[in-house]
Amino acid sequence: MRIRTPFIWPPEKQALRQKAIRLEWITIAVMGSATILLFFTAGTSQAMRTAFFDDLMGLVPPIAFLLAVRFERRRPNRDFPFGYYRGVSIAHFVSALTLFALGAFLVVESASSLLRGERPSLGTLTIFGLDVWAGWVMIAALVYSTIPPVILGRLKTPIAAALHDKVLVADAALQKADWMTGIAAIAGIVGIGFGLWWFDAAAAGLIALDILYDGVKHLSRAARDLADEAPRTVEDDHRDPVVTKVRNAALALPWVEGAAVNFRGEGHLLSGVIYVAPKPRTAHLVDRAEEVREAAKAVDWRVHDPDVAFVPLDALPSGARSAGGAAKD
Amino acid sequence: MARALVLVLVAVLAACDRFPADPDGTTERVRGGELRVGAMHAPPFVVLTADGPTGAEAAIAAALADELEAGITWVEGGPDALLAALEDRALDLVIGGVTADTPWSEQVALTRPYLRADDAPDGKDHVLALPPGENRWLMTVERFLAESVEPAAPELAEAGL
Repeated sequence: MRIRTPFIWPPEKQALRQKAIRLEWITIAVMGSATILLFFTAGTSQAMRTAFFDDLMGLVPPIAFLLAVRFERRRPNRDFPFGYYRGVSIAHFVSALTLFALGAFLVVESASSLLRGERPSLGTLTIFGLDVWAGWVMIAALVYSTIPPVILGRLKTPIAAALHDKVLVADAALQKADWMTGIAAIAGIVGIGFGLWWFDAAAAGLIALDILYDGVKHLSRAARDLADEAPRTVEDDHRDPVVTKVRNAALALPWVEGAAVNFRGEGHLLSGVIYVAPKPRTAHLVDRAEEVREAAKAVDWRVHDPDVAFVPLDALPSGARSAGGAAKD
Repeated sequence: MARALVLVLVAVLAACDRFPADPDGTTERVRGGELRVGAMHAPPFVVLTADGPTGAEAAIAAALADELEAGITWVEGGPDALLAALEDRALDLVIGGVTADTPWSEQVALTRPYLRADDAPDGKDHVLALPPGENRWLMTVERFLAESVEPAAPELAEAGL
């Protein structure tokens, strides 16, 4: 068995990662406290219960992220010769499933409470000796739970893009879901206050559809990722240009006649096989393989420990030749 | 988004005297009108007699009607019939030893306990049942309970209600 060399994060990315880790701890602390607050004020408002579940579910991606980071640090070993980099993909899948389940649950909940014509009852609460309508207390709790996700989501989005971290992207999506349900719940309670009993469930339902849509999107991406789909960009889910760049880097070597790249995403990393057809009578193939690897790693920091396979030129697709110019991967 | 929210809140505050509102306007209808009270036999809270309901909660209902200058229509019956009628908003109030842990708590609105578990003979929070979602009405009744009933409730319970 050959145990893989561990991936070393570039220093500037490592700094961003530390920032992301800090943000996730803050997320757990703030959203955890908001969840507790909502739990004690939720009462019978549908949108309010929705916001509570939303906040609770919002704790899953940060926990998954922190666990993934912890595993990712482990060195490859005899039991896991490829390392633990896929842990990030699993965390993404878990986060995506959470988002999807939340959306589905909320759609069903709000639809059924609309259809049954459930009328939320909100009475008075005594706070510091004052009798106030419970709706005001709920709105205050919701405002508290709505502000942090807006800020945290905004802080995470650029880091997610720079680190190509899909867990952070899913987390930011859940945070968006979070503050949107918060706003919907506030609108719902104000609606109840005006005597529009259906407003609460309708507002929750609209937001639930949006969450469900995000959930389906992320679940699909995470599942495809685990099934070794060719790498796609974190931001817009398009083919990752790095793959083509790696092939072009291999083709640029003077002794290479053809090249093709089969990469997959392993969490943050891109790895896989670079197929190379050397020109006839190329010598020192072991050293040449190292050249290909170095060229590939120079393309992007995420390229890690690719394998180089030497193949005859006719084993490569016709577009893979160096003379072809307009080659496709 | 934020600006719209502020506008909504301002509108809400401006409408504060009618906020929260009753979807069915129960408070408006009862005030100076008629209070429809469902009473189920549950001594000592409600005792159904030939002369109509008596007991502590019947007295509370009568005082509430007084406060709102409303007449009372009594409807006597069992819990299932009365609470189902309440859920359909055919009644404005149901009394008769309703506790906060009633299985009907999802279908009807319950007031805050007027008699706390510590003071109650059966060790449970005692509440009144109201139609669901009539939030102004819920607030009106809870205010009445807080001002007129809750302060006296412990002594009342000690005296056997």
